[in-house]
Amino acid sequence: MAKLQSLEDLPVPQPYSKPGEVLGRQLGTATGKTPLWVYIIFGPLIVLLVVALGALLLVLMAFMLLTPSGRDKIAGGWLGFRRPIAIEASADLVSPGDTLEIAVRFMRPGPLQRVRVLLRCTEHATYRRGTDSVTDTHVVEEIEVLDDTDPHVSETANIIRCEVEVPPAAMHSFRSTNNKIEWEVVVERTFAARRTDEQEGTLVVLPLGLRAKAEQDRTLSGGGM
Amino acid sequence: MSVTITIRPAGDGVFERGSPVTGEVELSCQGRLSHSGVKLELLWETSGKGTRDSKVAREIDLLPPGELGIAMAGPGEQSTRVPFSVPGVEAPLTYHGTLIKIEWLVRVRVLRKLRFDPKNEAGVVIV
Repeated sequence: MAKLQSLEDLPVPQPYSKPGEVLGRQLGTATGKTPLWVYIIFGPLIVLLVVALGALLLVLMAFMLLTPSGRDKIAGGWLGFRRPIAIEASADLVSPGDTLEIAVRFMRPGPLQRVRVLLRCTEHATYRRGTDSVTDTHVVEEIEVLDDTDPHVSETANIIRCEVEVPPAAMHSFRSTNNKIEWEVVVERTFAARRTDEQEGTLVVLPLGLRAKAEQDRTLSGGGM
Repeated sequence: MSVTITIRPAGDGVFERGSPVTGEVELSCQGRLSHSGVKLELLWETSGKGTRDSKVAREIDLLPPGELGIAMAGPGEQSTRVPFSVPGVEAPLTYHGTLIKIEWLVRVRVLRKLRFDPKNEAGVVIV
């Protein structure tokens, strides 16, 4: 008789935050002490790598600045960086058919032309092409949760709330070595002069049976994941 | 040596998530055939544009090491039928997307020392 299926054994993404928490991955930090020789050898290499990547980014940005859409994208990205947002959800574990409340918190309010909130399901397939590893993506489903063409965001009213139902027939989140099905809450902001910025928060959609198990696991492990 | 897998009772091999996957395996051979056991695996496999991934979710010993065709020793093809019931799985569900497909399979392998393992696969759908 096979042993009972554990959530960790399954190819579904593991929940990583508490309900209501800001959507985002928590990076693990190494605990062991690193010997000095590692810093001596790899330190200069890392500095060189960072400089090379910076130079590459500058060249890429210079090319993007040649086209109007590229200019808008760079300007949008910069404005998005200057005025960060936090995407919050009522639950980090949802199942198909569940209703999800989404809150977008604007950390530094300012004028906006348009705010769109989307629930998006994307397939990511990674394969080898020669010596490169290439990832193709395909949007399977995109639900428009909110489209506000005249948003009023100020210091006192800096939150936009909306809710959406995860489609009952939706595929759950899936993650294996080379293939991934991911659900995201996407917030698209349009600043002045059509400069747009897009930010995402990953959501874990579990099949109904597994959600109960994940919640049970969370209770047993003391509330956090 | 041939291995035939019949998924029962569902003719189209559709199972609700969590419900056991059932069927029958027919092992046919000429005369006697010794083996180191017959294993049945329930596994998922991805196909499509990405590099193939797979994982065995359930594995059961269908038959202990021994000989096939022993009950009806003699000339001609002997066959042994073994029913099976594998505990159900919750995820991933069968999925046919644009870049990714997720399929479930029942795989039966007759383990033989220093020889190729005769095997066969049958697809099932988990919904």
